[in-house]
Amino acid sequence: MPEASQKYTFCRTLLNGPSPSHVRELGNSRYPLAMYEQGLAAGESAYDHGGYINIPELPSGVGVRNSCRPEIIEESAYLRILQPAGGWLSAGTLEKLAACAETYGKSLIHFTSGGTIEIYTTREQMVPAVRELNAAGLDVGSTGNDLRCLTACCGPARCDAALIDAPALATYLGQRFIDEQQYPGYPQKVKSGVSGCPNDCTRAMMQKDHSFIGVYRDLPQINSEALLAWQEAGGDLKGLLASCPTEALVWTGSTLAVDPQKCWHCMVCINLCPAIRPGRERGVAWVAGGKYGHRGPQGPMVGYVLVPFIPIKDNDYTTIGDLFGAFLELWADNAQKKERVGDFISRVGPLWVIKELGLNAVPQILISPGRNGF
Amino acid sequence: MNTPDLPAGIMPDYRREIPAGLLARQGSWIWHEILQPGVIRHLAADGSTLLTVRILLPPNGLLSAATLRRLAGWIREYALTGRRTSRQGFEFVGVKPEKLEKLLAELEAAGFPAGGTGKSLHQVKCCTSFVHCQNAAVDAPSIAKVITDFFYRDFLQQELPAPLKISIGGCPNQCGGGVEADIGILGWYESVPEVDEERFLAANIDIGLLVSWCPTGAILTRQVKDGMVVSIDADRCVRCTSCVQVAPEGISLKKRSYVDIAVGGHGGNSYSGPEMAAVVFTRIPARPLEYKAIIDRIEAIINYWRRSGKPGERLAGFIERTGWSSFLEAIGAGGVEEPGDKPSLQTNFRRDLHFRY
Repeated sequence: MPEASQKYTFCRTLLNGPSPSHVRELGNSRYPLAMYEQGLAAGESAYDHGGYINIPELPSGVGVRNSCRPEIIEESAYLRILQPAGGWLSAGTLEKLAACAETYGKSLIHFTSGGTIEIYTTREQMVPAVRELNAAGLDVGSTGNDLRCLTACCGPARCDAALIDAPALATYLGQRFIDEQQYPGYPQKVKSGVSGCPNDCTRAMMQKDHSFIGVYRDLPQINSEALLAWQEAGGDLKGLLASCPTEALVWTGSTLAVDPQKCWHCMVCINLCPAIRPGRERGVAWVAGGKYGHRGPQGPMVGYVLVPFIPIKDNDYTTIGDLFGAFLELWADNAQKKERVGDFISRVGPLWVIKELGLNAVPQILISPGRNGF
Repeated sequence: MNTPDLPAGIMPDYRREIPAGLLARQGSWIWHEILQPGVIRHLAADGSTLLTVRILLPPNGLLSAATLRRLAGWIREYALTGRRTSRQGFEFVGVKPEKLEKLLAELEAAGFPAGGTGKSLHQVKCCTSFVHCQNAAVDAPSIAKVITDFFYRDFLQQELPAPLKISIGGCPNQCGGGVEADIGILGWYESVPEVDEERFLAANIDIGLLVSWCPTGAILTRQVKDGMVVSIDADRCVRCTSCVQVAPEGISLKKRSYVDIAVGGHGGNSYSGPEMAAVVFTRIPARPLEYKAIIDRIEAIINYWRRSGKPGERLAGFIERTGWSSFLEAIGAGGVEEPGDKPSLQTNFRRDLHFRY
């Protein structure tokens, strides 16, 4: 531990305790710890409004925080790196990120809550740092009013619940819309995420303006032999039957069946019992408008379902890409300045969006028909 | 100069991060079980298995280059590849079963313990706040650190009724996701932003955007000799700080802040579908490192749920079963006035007669 962090009372306190400390990481890098100490001591951040800066070669992926304490640091610039979908990071990629942060940055990496990776650096080092990242197969983007980095859950490479190859779809969309991620030209930021199943572990429906969630349309598949083995091993059948939120699981005394009228195609029984597997007719539900922030007329909101089921055949994502692109164009043409997708759809109505995109509105997108004649 | 044009237009392909052998088994997984806290075993149809070890990272995913190299070293020695989780944690995927014990021991010795799976406290997600952001009202990483320290045992063992996710957002932007978690902590400014008319007039401010971006129409314009100035209607203002983002030169925040605590946010579509968390405690002081008031309230929430929750019942489902009135009473939350919505946004008042007492 460099002695620098020892002279800071607040930072020193945060080194204690059993859980890993961010101050230890900051202290082991060239991050100006005095700035953080200053913030903690004063009860307000020592950084000032900055923003996304324009470096001619780098229209996005670069930003700067101004400083209220220029004697410590004049300003703090950062690069935002597009992350491989699903957060997959091999040893080689981690080492390349470390090398880039050591050579061009402050020897510090930040996994952001939005699903990108940041390196704190200086304006002068940005272009050489990006060239080094490019050589390592990585690139920057995802700042300002642009399409933010496409994120995904871990997908079928590791997960037994994945209905679709979420990181593959995110990678497809990310590659097809790479210019939109690197040249800010939209009314406001637009975040997108892909989750492999309705469990939505990445909370894409809530956090992302656009989410594509893997869904199935037929019924959960029950393997009677496996069910028997599961029961013999102590599986709680009564608990399983009771767990279904729609009471769709029917036990006849010897076999288990799913009532097709009742099943709403969630993951509860599949999560609980290894003898029940998701249906085979798979696709994605398209949800738009989610956001966390208390900005805009709606504040934090869960997105609207625009299309409940877009089939995926043979890993062909062209239809989804076409729809995504068409929506982005519609939104860019019609949104007010700084209007997030959720506020936009709330203003114009999901049905207007669906009609403009030439899609059919299906009853599944409604909780009920309208109850107000106006 | 013979250097390629920037930007280079590279969206990294995740398949490059996964060894071919593992990628070939994609889609073969049919079940998973948690062997011990932090260790997940996936089973394939052919009977083969895959071990994952999930570890606790420092708050906010801040890692020195040296730590990044250690993670890489552990992958090279013990696993096939790694991934950062959507909650700012980290997982080693494809851990060699014969080396599992050694990896766990090394991780513990290095201070990155395995845990946070199943019915435990998961990695606390938070925004960057005072480390690198100007808009933060409170410092989320230090709150995350103090919470993780206090409930550390619950990260290492799986004895809660269900998974517990805590997220912290330092300001109304909620980059940290305080609005979505089982327990969310939301940083707020106490007073409405203030307009410095002289500096406002001197700066070139987009007044149209300033007025239109305010969600409650609280920005009032007024013509003066040298141009247009604005004032902020304190009764309408919801302190979202949008105006400060548009006009940092002329509108500033008096830096007095507090946090709200919200419960019952959940993603996933199993029961009632994704829902934002509901605010149960408001105006809790959060001066850096003086977080006892926050910890006490979170402890009251967790203890009540721990005592009375059924196995597998997330906080949201627990409250739905027992009812808000008894929940608020049990955790010592005040009357309705504070958690009630502002006049313009009455969406959470009852419109049926399903009273529970």
